[in-house]
Amino acid sequence: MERMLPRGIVREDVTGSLAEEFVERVDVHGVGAARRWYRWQAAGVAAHGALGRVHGFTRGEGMRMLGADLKYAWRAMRRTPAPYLIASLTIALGVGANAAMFSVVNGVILAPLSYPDADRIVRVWPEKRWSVEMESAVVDGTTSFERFGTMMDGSLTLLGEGEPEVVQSRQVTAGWMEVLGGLPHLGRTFRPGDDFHEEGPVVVLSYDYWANRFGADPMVIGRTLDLSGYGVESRTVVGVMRADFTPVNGDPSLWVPLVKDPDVPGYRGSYGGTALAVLGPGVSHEQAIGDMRRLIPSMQDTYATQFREIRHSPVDVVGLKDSVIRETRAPVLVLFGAVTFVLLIACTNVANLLLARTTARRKEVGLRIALGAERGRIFRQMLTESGLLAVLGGAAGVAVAYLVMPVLRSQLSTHLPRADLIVLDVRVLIYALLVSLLAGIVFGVAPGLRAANSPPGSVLNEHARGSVAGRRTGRLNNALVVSEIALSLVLVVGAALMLKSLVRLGHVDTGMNIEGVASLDLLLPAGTYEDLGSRQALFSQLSDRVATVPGVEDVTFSNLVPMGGSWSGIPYAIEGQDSGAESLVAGYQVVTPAFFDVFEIPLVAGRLLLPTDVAEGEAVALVDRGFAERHWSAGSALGQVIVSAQNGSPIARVVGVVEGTRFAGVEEPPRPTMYFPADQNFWFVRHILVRTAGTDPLGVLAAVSDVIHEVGPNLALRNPATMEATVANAAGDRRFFARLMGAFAALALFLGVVGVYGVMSYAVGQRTREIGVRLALGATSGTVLVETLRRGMAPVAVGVAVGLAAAIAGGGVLDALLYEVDAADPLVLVGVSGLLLVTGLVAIVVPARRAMLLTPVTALRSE
Amino acid sequence: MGERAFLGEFEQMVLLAVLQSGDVAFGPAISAELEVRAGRQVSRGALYATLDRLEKKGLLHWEIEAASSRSRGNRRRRFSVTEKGREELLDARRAFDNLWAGLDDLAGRTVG
Repeated sequence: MERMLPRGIVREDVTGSLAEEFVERVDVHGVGAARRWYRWQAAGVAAHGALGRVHGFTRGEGMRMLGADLKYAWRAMRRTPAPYLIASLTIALGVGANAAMFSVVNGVILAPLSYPDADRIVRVWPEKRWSVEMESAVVDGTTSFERFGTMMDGSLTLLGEGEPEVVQSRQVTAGWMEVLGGLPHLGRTFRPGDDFHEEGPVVVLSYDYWANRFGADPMVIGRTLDLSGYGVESRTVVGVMRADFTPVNGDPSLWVPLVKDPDVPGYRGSYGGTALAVLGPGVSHEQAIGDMRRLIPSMQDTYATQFREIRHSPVDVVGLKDSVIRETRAPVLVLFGAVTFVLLIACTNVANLLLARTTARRKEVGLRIALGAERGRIFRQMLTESGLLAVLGGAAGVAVAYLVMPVLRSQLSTHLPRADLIVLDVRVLIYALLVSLLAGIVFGVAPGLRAANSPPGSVLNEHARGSVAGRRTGRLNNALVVSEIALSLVLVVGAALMLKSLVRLGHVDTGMNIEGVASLDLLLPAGTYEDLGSRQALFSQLSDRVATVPGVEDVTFSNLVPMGGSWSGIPYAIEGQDSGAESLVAGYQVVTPAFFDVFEIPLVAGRLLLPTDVAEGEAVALVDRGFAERHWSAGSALGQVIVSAQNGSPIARVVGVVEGTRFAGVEEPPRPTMYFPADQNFWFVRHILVRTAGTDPLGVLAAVSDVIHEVGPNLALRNPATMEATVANAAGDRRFFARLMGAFAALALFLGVVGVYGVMSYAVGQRTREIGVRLALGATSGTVLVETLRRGMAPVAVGVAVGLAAAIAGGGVLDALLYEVDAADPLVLVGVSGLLLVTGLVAIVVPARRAMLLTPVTALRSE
Repeated sequence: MGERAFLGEFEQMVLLAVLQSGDVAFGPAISAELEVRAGRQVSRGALYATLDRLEKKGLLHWEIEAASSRSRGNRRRRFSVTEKGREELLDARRAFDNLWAGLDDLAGRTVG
């Protein structure tokens, strides 16, 4: 700071007297306060000193000068509004898109989670492997966690309130609610006793569910609801959460306790829970992981099953926010980068526009210089003008962002977590202001320097377009074209790569034919169909009745909807084979025999499942080709026995091998899979799948629903969907991001073409006189055209090269968004380069044609 | 330009504070005067900028005092008001007095 002051006695005096008073203040106020005072004063001195030294005037005068500059700029804009209007609109477009996207970054990535101690909340890996016993072991055996909780997904059926309703619910331990620190609107949340049903089974409602289903009735507390599920048939309402409570993972309508005691009904010993914890103050993730690792050996024996899995999915601790936005960060940042490119292109366009204005105003500027205006003053004046332009454009941009915000939010809410946090708040406004000002500087500096550096003599003498100035102009124009082309190319390449990923995904061979197949979730209320026999009877009755519905060709039941985003794997071993340390996991599908007809999955060896594979018969299974080849050849798989990974007891004998499918999802590689007959495993069946004829699968499904309700009036049905929609949904995010990227790329390309056109028109305008002279000296219009095209295309080609280099170098950023497409995909790179060259050519041809059509007379008269 | 403009309020205060500080009119003393008599907390930056401006206008003058132990071995500037500075101060005061003449009532009411 001192260095900013003039040298010599003044600096000595100022620092000396500050030092002197510092010493006095130490005695009176203490060292800390004195130091703060000194820093504050020194900063003030530096600021005043810097202002005074650079500009040679004080702040008051500076403000007056700024006012004058602003007035002058405003007058200049009023005089010829058209170019400024276009410039403002361009900036509005760039800043608007940028501000809108920043609000997404701000809300989704930057904003903290809305929980108390949010920065200390962590998810404890392995995900979906926790049980309540493990929670107890961790709480007793570690010191890193202040609070710890477990949650399992699920749904309950609400009866006795009209139509049976399937309700999204979460089973949670009391610790889970403590971790999130949620407060009740009415009544209470869970307490440790609830984990043992001390007061009988209880339930806490979400605010929305309470408001929508129970009319916000405060008397709901204490009521008993016929909520069947988790081994219990009714529950007492003890609380309603507050409206602002944000659950983790989706939006359940209610919460019920996750029972910790095996003797209490509703106990769910199986592991499949998600664990959440609050780290103690100052505890690092590494410490917590170390703590967990120390605990695991002592738990190995007790929870052998869980830890057999844990061995292969290491313990980890991940910040809750990081885990929430894990999948989102990459696409959002890429899109934000894309709009920033759009903004830069907009800036380039405006810079070019202002350059043209500067040329048009060179007489005015020359006059001012000749009359003694300082060059710094001229520069300031030009920069004020572009600053004003930027702020006006930026304000319009914020208005644009404000208008698109609701659309953006509703579009994004299905594809992004935390979309409700996307708002135009103060941070976004400040960001928009800064970006506008920065943009103003970016596009204002070049014209400003150009104006300030015009030699007074040559400007006033308007024919003296010196060769030096001309060359400088040319270089600046070329630089603008190069950057516009390069920036557009990078964006278009990005969009093209994402598009190609989509095309790739559309052509993936999933191994099954989903055309005309539709699915429906089927839930049996607790307390009904309790034994395998009655279930079997129900499903065979359903199967017979549904098959008679017009339009139904085939019907099957399964535990999962293929490619629906969920996949179930179980550990297993092969009789007579030593799996060694490796823990084998394969897909676990429970299906009825018609499954392979419905999805047209071909048989490779042996036989398919048969109606005779019933509970009383031998336990059998099919495996897919991938599974068979993991252990044997496809042919010799028959007769082998799949056994339990824990104790080696037999599970089923392999009787057939089918082709592999992408059951886990289109984007997932095929995984080894086992198929078990539903008749032997009806507990797990949750979905009904029908192959329909005709064009209206959902209509057929409605008829199917009616028939199902005739068979079992208390069966709850949910999520009717065609398989095509299910698969499209799974790729929905990808398609959405690709579409946004495509929109940005199109905008960039449009602005880029307009910009290149502008630069070229300007350049041709500049050379009108030169062209006139050459035409007069005998050049043909053909040579003029070729020459103009050559001059115009050179920077376009350089831009393409620069853009290609940038696209290849930065391609890694896109990896997370691509599917089996290399970021440096040659076809895309070549195709987009060609596209850019052609667009560049189109932008150049129009002004070049104008040059060609010039006659010497008009050309020379123009000056 | 601006030769005939009256002194700004803060400029007057600084000049008066320099006069009040007498022969110890160094930076810290001037700032202390402003604080005690006028109740104005002034950042050093603003103060030095004003002092320099007044010096340029010829209303202030400074001389160098040799380094002493109190100033931690730095040479210091001692400020004094020039004849022109005194005149401008008096001009300003006369102008104010003229404007205030006959308005003692207002002053009385405001205070009362």
